[in-house]
Amino acid sequence: MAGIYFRDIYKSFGTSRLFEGLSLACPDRKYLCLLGPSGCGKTTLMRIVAGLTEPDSGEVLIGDKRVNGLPPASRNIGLAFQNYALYPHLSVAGNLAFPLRAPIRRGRYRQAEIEERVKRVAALLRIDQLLHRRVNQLSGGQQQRVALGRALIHDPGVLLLDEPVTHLDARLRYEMRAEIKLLHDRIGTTTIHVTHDQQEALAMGDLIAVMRNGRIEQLGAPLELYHEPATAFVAGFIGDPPMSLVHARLAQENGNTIVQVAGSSLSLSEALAAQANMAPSREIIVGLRPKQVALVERPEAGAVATTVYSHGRVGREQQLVLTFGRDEVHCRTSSAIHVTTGDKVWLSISLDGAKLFDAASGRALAHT
Amino acid sequence: MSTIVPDKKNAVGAATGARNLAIYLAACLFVGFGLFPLYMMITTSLKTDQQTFAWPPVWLFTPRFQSYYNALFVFGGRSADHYLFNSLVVTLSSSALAVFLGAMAAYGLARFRFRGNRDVAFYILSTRFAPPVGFIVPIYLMVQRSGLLDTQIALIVVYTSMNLSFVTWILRGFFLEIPIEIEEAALVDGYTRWQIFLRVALPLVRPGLAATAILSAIFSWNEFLFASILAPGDAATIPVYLAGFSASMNIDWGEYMAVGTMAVLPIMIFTLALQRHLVRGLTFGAVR
Amino acid sequence: MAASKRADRRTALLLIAPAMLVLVAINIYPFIYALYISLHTFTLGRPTPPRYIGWSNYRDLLDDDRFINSLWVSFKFVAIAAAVEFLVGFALAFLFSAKLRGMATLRKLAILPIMVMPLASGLIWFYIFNENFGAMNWFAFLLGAPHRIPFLTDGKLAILSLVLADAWQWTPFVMLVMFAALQAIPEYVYEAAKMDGLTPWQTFWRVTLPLLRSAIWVVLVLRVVDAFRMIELIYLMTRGGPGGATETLSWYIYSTGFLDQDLGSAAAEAVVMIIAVSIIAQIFVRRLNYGAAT
Repeated sequence: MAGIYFRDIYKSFGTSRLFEGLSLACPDRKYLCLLGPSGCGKTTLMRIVAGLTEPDSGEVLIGDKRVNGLPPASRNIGLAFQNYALYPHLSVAGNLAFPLRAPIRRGRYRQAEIEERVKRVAALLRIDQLLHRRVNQLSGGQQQRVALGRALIHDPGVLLLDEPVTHLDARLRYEMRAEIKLLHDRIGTTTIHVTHDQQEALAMGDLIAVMRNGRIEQLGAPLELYHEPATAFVAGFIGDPPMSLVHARLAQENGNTIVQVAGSSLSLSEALAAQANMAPSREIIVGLRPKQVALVERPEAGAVATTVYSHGRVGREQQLVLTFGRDEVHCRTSSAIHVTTGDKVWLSISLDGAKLFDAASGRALAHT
Repeated sequence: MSTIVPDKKNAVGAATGARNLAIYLAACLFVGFGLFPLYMMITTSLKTDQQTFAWPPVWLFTPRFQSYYNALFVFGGRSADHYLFNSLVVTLSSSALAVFLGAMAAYGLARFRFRGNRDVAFYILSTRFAPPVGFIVPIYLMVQRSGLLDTQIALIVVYTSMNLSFVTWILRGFFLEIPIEIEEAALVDGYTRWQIFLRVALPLVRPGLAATAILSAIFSWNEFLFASILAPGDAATIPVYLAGFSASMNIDWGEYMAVGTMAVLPIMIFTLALQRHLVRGLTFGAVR
Repeated sequence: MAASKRADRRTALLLIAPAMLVLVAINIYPFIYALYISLHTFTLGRPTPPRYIGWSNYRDLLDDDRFINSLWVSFKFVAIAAAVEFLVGFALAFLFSAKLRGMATLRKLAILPIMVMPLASGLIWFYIFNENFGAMNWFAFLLGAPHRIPFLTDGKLAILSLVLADAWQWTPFVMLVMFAALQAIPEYVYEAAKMDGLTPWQTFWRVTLPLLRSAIWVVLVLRVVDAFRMIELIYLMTRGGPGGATETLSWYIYSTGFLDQDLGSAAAEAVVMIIAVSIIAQIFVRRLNYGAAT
């Protein structure tokens, strides 16, 4: 068992620089989700732990051991690939035993022990009925279990999961999520889980590192990310629907700091005003939860004119996406209200509980 | 123009029937043209001299196997089986070598980035076009110098090199089709690159190995030019032996055709076994 | 997958080296050796050592009527054979694409000639073309020919007879490859063409043909190069005769080197041939970029 540490990692692919001094720590026994859109570098980071990709510079530590330059097999890791990468010419049992039979572990396991371990891991993952099947006769979910089993069979110090449930259909996905989480609770192996699905990360991670363009936007526990996003990007990425990000301007009115959005002026609570006063410039971004916006029938103070961009019913509610200026706002209303795309509607905005970000850097305006 | 677009299902009824009949007729005509020479070869091997030289040609007759018996057992000196065996040794050795060396090179080219990778790959492909007759003089002298004239070793080496180009190209295509993650998984599981090549990659390209092995075998079995120059005597392969007949003034057509049939039929059987990857092999992966 | 680059490079080298070694020994070195020999007088079986004579072997080629003739004969043979095989084979690929019962079996039978040992096919056709008892003359007689036709001993007929024997073996090859290429075109392409209102003829020119381009290219180059190097049929059927009418460059090199035993001249001719074929091969490799992914 061991924590995983990245120190000042640099990595370029050709002329495009991905990591420029990335540092990140995943403490022992934690379940860390690397979350971000495609191309953010989350898979590359995981491959750096595995040794399938070498950083240009910087240190990678597993436990207190520097693993740079070590071949993947010497790092005591288990890796489950996104596409499972099972050996199609072997049976399920053959796949599970493959790591134990590797030359690097020659002599460490006797035949009887290999068989016993295969049985144990198969039982753990409930694939013990399938041991003699060819892997291409298995369903996606079963293949996923075999891939997990193969990653776990030699008791690795670190488990790496690359989009482990992405290819499964929705029901199976929920089931596998729960099982993997349970498995982690039981065996406690330090795990890095790469995903682009924020729901999945929120549901599974002890810690989530949100990544974007090769940088860590925020590292924190799921609720922390949800309630206190460090950047506008995190705010716009996490939650279902995520926060709406609205460009705004700070102004002074009667000695109070106010926010001007699309021609309307909104007043700030004291706490928010204190934050707003920390802003390096007048241009800010306001993060709004759906419950902070509501449709109103006629223009009133603090209401802005918007256009319906899309609408969809979810049970008794309907979700609307409204546009004004260059911004989009997610809003929930009763299904009884009838709107169609292109309609002009009025939106009242309440700033209570809103998040303020600096428009230039995207950083949250700090509490004082 | 209904055959311009394949499988176009157009008007039903008489028109279709007539069209299908025309297609069948044309196809059968072509197949007949293709099979006729083979039919001639086989029937002539079963005829007596009298029947062979008869005018008009004899189409119906009682087959006799005397020619085969003569070719294999009676002929003075070496008989056909000696040369068939030579062919077998040379074919099997050179195919095995070409497939193994070709697979190694193909894997190296498919899986490793290094400067000049493309140049090496294209060079290997371009040797497919090298005209054998252009190389026969220097290779003859090389073989003569090294004292390997009229040995199977000389033929095995030359055929291996001849087969390497397409073996390498076809297998390179097959290796590129293996998802890289499978090999990375083996790397994580504790295998070295060489072990991954042997225990993961090779088993996964088994159809490619079979196809290239059979194609190599066919080319080696059929090769005549190098064989006639490098191994004209005791180590001669079956085409050289066959060519020897035409040099004599009074050709024994029955025996000639009997040897020809024995040289050709094994390959026919191979062909049927290989249907699936034949095109891919013959065009080094350009057409599947 | 780049764990450690130096180790990777070493593995790659070890994997590729054996094959390259064989190719260097049997392809590159012989070519250099051929260049060397071509600058010498070199007679097979004579004890005198080779003597350096510079470019005279090449200069002699320019005055050598047989050499010039062999280039012309090669050109004629290659052009006619490749054209016939390609056009007939291409047409047959469409014919055999018809989805009719039994077509698959007919197709399998049709491609059998490809695998016949070229020397054996020379043997068979030598027999079939025989002036006295060959089947070809019997068919000619049935069709009303007034006398026996000298298929292999008449200058004009001999080369056509060779073309027929070559086409017998290789038209099925063209058919097979073009058939496979046709099968690789997905059905929806034709459906889309139909939706767009293209006539079958337009579909052929604007959809099918462009999609077959790389297959056509491969087949043509293979047929040209292989017809150029063909030697077995000539060896058995005409031996370059009558009067040089079927003496192709391949046959000329073979006979200069191993019948006349003049290795120096043969090497010079070989160098010319290798360079000519290399140019064709280069065009092919450049045009066909299917190996782009390394």
